[in-house]
Amino acid sequence: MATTNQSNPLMQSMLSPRGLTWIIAIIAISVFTWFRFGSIMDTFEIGILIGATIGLIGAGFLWQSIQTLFAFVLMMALIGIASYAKHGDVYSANETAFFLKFLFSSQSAFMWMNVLFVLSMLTYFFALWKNSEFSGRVATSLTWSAVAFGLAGMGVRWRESYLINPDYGHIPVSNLYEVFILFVIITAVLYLYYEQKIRNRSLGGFAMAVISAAVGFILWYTFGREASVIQPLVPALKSYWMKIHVPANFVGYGTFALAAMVAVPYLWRNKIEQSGNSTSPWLTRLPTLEVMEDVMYKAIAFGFAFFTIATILGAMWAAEAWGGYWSWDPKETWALIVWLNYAAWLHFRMSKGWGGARMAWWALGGLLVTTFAFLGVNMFLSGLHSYGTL
Amino acid sequence: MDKKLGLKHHPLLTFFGSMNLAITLLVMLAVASVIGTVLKQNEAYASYVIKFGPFWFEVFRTLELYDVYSAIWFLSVLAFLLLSISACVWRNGAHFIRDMFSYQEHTHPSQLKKMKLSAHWETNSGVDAIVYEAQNAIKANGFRIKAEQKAEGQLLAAKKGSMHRLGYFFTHIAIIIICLGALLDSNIKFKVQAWLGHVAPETRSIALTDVDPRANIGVDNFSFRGSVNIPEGKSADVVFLTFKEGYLVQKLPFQVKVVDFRVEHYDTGMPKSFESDIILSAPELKEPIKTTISVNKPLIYKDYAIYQSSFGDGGSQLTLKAWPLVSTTPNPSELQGEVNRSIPVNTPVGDYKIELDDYKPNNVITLAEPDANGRKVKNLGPSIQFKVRDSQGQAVEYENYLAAIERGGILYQASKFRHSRAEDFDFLMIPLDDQKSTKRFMNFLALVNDRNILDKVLDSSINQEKDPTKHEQLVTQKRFMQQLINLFRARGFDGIHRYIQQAMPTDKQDKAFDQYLEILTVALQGVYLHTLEAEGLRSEKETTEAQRRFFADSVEAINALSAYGPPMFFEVTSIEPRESSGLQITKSPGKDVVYFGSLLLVIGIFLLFYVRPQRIWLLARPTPEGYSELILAGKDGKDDKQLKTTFDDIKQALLLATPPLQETAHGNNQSV
Repeated sequence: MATTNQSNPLMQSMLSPRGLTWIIAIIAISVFTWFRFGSIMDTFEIGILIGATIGLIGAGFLWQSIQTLFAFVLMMALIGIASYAKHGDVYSANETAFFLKFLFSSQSAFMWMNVLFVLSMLTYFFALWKNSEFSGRVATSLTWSAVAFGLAGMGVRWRESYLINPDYGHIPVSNLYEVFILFVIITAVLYLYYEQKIRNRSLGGFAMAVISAAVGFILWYTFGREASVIQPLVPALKSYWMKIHVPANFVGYGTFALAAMVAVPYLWRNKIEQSGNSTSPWLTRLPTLEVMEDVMYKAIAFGFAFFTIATILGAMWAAEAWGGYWSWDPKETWALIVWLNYAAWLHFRMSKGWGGARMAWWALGGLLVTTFAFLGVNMFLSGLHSYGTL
Repeated sequence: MDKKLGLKHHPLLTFFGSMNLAITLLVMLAVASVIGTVLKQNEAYASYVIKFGPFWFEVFRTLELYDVYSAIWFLSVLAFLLLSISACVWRNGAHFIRDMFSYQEHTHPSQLKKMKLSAHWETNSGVDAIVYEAQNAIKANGFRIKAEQKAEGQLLAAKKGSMHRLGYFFTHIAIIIICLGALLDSNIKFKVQAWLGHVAPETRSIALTDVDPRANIGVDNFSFRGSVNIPEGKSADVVFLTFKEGYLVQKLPFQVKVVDFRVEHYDTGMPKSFESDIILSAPELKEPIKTTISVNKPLIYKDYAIYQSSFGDGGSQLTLKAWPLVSTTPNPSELQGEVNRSIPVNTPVGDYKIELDDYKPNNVITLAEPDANGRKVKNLGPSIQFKVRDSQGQAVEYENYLAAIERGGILYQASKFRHSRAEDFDFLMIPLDDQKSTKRFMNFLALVNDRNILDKVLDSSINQEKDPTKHEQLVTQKRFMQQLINLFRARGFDGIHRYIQQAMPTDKQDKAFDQYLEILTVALQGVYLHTLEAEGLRSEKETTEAQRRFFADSVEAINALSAYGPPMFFEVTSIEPRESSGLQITKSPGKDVVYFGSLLLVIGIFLLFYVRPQRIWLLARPTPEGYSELILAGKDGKDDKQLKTTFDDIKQALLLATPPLQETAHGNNQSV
């Protein structure tokens, strides 16, 4: 007789005490949100809240670490928000209140995130070099902590925008500075997911390298350009669409960046293998080519799906805000180019069965296209999307 | 071979359906897109000529690079891509559909044994019992089963995830649908008419009734995207489409009236939201539609969508004070005007036309450093933009700020000006007196304008000098000073500099310039003190720090006047704002088609990536020895990794239910 049923593990984890707590907690939080903020939400935003609730519950079961992460982020963000409340709900409290000044005001939290990401890159590389399991575990913890600080910082920043001026209030995904924070968080979370899946930490340094580069940009942007100032929204951005279009887009950017960074160790290992040096210590530490190729493929496929949705949502938003679903605006056009690039990549892999070094090189090159769409368009081209000009 | 299959292998179809062609077209599309983003699209032809020079301008124009996305070659690439994808779907379609429905029950036992996921053993159980157990185990894993009695034995062929194949159809058909929708909206019929010369742009700004008939587009136009500015209280039944070097007038089957327009600002002066109360009336409507539209909240009427896209001035009423800048009497005259109209002004120094272009209620500038409140922006307040055109048609462009502008604790009336669009703006900063008015400066200026002012200012003290030679010296000095003042008033510091360059040897120029400036300053100070005296402000010889500062600023302003253009300065004394609402009206029948295609695309992508086609076979047959042999095999669309757990699960169940005879279990995967 068939003894086990395939759908059982998921059901079991949902009906376990932890699973039920998770479901009830998330539902309770969103019901609270609805009671507290329902009056300023429109129908679509309530829809987004319901969708987010279901999505978060689901994500928590597909990947349990989300549950732990969420608990930490919630706690940190609440400490930050409560500290503001304790100091009269004025934005300038971030200069005086201890918890805000040193830990959980959005600026402090983002700084912690930045530092932790750079440290985690160094630690991952150290772990790879020394083949140290312990250092690897430390690096993973550092990455998780950075993600927690980043997400908590975003939550607190959302609140801060209302504290500065209720008119300014908006979700912090509205300009280049804010989406860069979103980008590093999403890329790191995606990396952590694959790290758990493949049970190998040796790719961490590479993934954290692209994140650290982005952190470098964030630091320059913060201190060189004062970009961290919370600005009110231009009328075109005042829409529920922003809450879904932007995050969906950055899941795409994040996975494409991750795939490119996995391509680096892939090509490295490939070179070692081709040189015939089978005694190289790296061969035992890095995942096999097959595993890395699979991560690249899965990341790109996942990102492609999200990027498609994001672009379509963007077109629907454009139809409402700009009067046309497609205007050949530079950002739109580059989104299309990115899409075409990965569509071609997927075709070559799925239909032509291409693999190996050339696909890895292509995934790596894709990072250039993605970076241009993400950053270059804002730097060199002007158009309707000029919310994040440098 | 089957003759019907022949078509599928037709060389043309093979060519169009090949992935190499599709990828080549995709690359071309990407390259064209890049060009379109790097080269700014749909600008005025004149600016392209300036940018590229006449030769390359012509080359790029021939290649239609100024409007890449509606260029014939670009649309041809799209059309070929459509053909290519269609051919691809056609070529693979039948095979994929067959595969989707097929259980592949004809797979030979020897093939089953060769699969990567395969196991076979002999057992005591009967064939029926094996089939029964297998059916349960396979079904429990969500497979659909087809049972068949074959010559080789009893076969179960099972499949799961056939929707994967559907993903292929969805994605590719979706792209075709999206392109068709876009093609609908790109309005081929209109393009053909334009190509045949039935449509031509109007380039002049003239009354609607005078527009070239070929620029008038009827209501039957299939799709368009145009804009129109409607002042409050007015209505419109046309929109303007930008087309080549001019515009077209698109007739609407309804009329839109803007009843009221409102704009809200943040405390920084940036617009926070803007909205219009509109009334849409059409012959077929019993009741006109009254509604409010705002950014992100358009009104949809039939195929048409009406968007709030911008706002501007709809004819604000202005009262201006015109200060004469070359007169010796500082008496301003009053003018009435309306934005978007011009005011004729006749002066002793010539006839002018003041073209009032815009009234801007807010001027938000970005600061290099955030201010005390952590803000990076500052609102300079309202301004008017206008041109002053002389009788020869030469114009100078101005922007005057209504509110005083503070710099280093001093208030100024600021005016920006430039003589051509290619230049940057220069500033005229008129210092304000204690009453925060330009009065004192104008008084001072009127005196400076007097070509014999020093006679009035200095004669009393010169006449006190009794020594005739000294008196003569003073008179000569005075004359020289007066010449300097006159030169400065006419040409500014630059005029003095040039005079010295012409009149003096090179090595003495710098020194002379310093000396001249000193003398000029002394002379102007005399005039300035005279101004203060006339105001009754001067107490003996003392001047305050503020008065000295005012003097320096005034001299700077007079210097700027030499390039200011027509001899008038306009101050706004009252304003009655009247806004106009910028609407964008589109007709895009292809939109829903595109959305439907998009939905199909998303579903298709998820089916392709996240549904894995899996197959399981079980063959049970009696052996000559009186036992039963069973072959279990499986494969998925890719590397069999996904299926392995399921396969092992089923195998374990069967191993328990129909245990193998000693030593007869074999499998390609070593997990028995």
